[in-house]
Parts: sequence; C-alpha cells; structure tokens
Amino acid sequence: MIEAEAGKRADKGFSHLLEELRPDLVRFAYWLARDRAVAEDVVQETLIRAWRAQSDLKDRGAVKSWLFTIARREHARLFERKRLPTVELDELVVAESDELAQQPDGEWHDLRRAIMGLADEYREPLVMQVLGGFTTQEIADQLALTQQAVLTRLFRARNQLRAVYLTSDDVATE
Amino acid sequence: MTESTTNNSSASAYDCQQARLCIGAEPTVVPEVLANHLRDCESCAAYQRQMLRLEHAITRALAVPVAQTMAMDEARRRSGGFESGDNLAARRPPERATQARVPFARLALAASLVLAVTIGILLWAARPDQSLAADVVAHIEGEAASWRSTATVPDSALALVLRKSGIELAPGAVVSYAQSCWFRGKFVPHLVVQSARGPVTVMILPGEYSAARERFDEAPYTGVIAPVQGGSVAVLARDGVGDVDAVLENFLVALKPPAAR
Repeated sequence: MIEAEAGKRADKGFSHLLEELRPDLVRFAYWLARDRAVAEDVVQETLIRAWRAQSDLKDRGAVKSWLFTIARREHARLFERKRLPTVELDELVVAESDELAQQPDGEWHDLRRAIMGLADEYREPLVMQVLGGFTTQEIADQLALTQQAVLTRLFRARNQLRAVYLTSDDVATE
Repeated sequence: MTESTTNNSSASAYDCQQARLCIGAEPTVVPEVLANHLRDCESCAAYQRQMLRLEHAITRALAVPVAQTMAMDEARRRSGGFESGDNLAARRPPERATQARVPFARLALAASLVLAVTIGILLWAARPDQSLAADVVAHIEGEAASWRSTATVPDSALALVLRKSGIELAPGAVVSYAQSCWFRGKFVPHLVVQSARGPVTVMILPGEYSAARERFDEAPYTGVIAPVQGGSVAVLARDGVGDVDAVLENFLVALKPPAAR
C-alpha cells in the first residue's frame, strides 16, 4: 500500500514536470517541424515515450534535455515512417507566416520568418541550443557532427538572421 | 571597419575570424581567449554587442505562443497514465480503485462488472449516439482556450487543417480557431466559428456515422450532431451562447465531401 502511494506521488510529480515543460517542448517540435500539426504529433509521441520510460531518467534535473532528445528522435522517426510530403518552402513560409502574423507579438514576425527559412542544417542546431539549452558538444553528439561543424553551422545561422534583423545602420557601424 | 590583424598581439590568441566564429556560435559564452581579443578589437566588440542583441531577439522569436492543444490529453489517454492533479481520481474507473482489496472485493467487482455490462447494453440500446456526443464534449473540454480565440484564422492555415482530413470548405465562415485534432483514432478538424451570438465549435468527423440529426445537452454544452456524406459534423455552443443551428446549416452547405472535389 505504501509503495503504491509512493508510486502515485512519483507519477503525479512526473506528470507535473511534463506539464510544465510541455510549452517548451511544443515550441521545440514546432521549430523542428515548421508545422503545428506535425509538432503536436511529435509532442504526443514524446510524452507517451517519456511517460513509459520515466524510470530511465536518473537525474530529474536533466529532464528537459532528455525530453528534447526524445522529441528530436520522434520528429526524425515521424518523417521516416510517414514519409511526409515535402512542401515547397515558399508555400510553407507563407502558410506559417500567416499563422504567426496573427500572434499578438507581431514584432518578431520577420525574424520568425527568417528562422523558418533557415535550412534544416542551420535551424536545427540553433533551436537545440537556444530553446533546448544543449551545449555545442551535446548538439554535435546528437547530430553526429564534429563540434567544429556545429560551431560553424551556428555561426552561419546567426549571420543569416543578423542580415535580416539588424538595420543597415547597425552593420555600417561595424 | 577596423579589424585587428591576425594574431598580432601576444594577449590575443584569436584572430578576428576565430573571434567572430566563437561569438556567432555561442554569443553568451566568452572564454578568456575571446575576452582578450575583444579588449583589443573594437570591431569584434561591436559585433559581439550586435550578436547579443540578436540573441535576445532570437530567444523571443522562438518563444511562439503555445495554444492549448490536445497533446497532453491525447497522450494521457494513449499511455493510460500521467493524469495530473485531482482529475485522476475523478476520471479513473471505479474498478481501478478497488484493485488492492481482498478476494471478497474481487467477487463484488465481478458482480459489478456484470451489472455494469448489462446497464451499458441497455443504455447503448436506448441512446446509441450519446457516446459520440460525450467524446466530442470531452475533447472540447480539453481545449478550453479554443473558445477564447477571436482573431480570424488565415485561409491558408485553415486549408492546412482541413487538408489533413481530406476535407474542403467553401469560403465564408469566420473561423477563429483551427486545429487538426486526434479524435477516435484519426485527425479531424476542430474549428471555432464566430457566429452572430458568439463562438460555436464545429468538429468535422469523417467516418463517424450517425443515422439522423441528434441533439444533445451536456452542461454547459448544447449542440447537435448531424450526418454528412462520409461521416458527421458536430456543432456545439457553450453556456447557451452561439447560433448552433445557423452555423450547422452554413456548414452543411459549405462542406465539400471528398466525392465532390
């Protein structure tokens, strides 16, 4: 009985943890997939796998990177399994930009659009680093790249965004 | 543009190219070797300030609003677990609460099951379509935020949601919420339409057949499930607000069944 109660409490605690991290997880999946519906699929599968594998998580402090790692794999698996139709980038950017444009904080619209337009090889490590909090070495391990390659990709990603975000005056002062 | 020359200082082990790679890759990390370079190179220091500003903006831009979605509810249902809070006890079937009891309790449980099955059959016979309405209501309750949306969903976003279910709508409805939701084993469009008297939820349910138009009242929701070609459409109002019938009639006209495309 006592063990069952303890198990229930642990379940509840883990459940709260997942609830707290879900918004970040949805954002992470969204920026990976660039599609809200696909992101929802990824998050669902991630939460199910996380729930079932919660005993594998030894350090609850690492739960965020653990969840994001599962989500990244789920995203890759979903594409592999469903062979989702490829969408022309312009069409995707227009569709998602419309969706983003109706968000209240429209001031980030151009930058979001630029992030969405980044090639996967640049967007993925950037999102892993900024949203997921992964170190460059962790990103390198997950993407099977050298750390130097990750640094280069992050540098290129930010420089592409810099060209969009910064004004010409900013660049001129350089 | 005044960049420092490559490795021209014993205090700066980085040249400008290395410094900028380091800044661009990790703007918030300043190892000592980079700090040394920045002290000597105003151009790279300016670049770093720009990149920190950009980093702040990227962080904000990535933080897209997250709508209330079905992800948690659906994942809970499919995994058979991770309910949070007090809902767990409320939603858990009675037999789960008695699992740890003695054998007598098992006998009682078996008798209860027989009774429950009998009652279930009777209820099913009496109200065959009620479970669909109940499932729709349960789903709607899991997406309470959908009622609060007021901005019109762009046609392109709506089309994406509908396309996932192979559905098309004639233009006209003012849709303020559109999600493709997992419902009874498939993705279905979950929409909120702004009617003259307030928001009304519409769920298009391919493969969910109903013999005739069925009204239901599951406080605070009232609505109707109507048969359409290839399935049903459910239209609900909350707290009696919203023109359910008007929205339903509009949808029956606007809905293009697969065969018509």
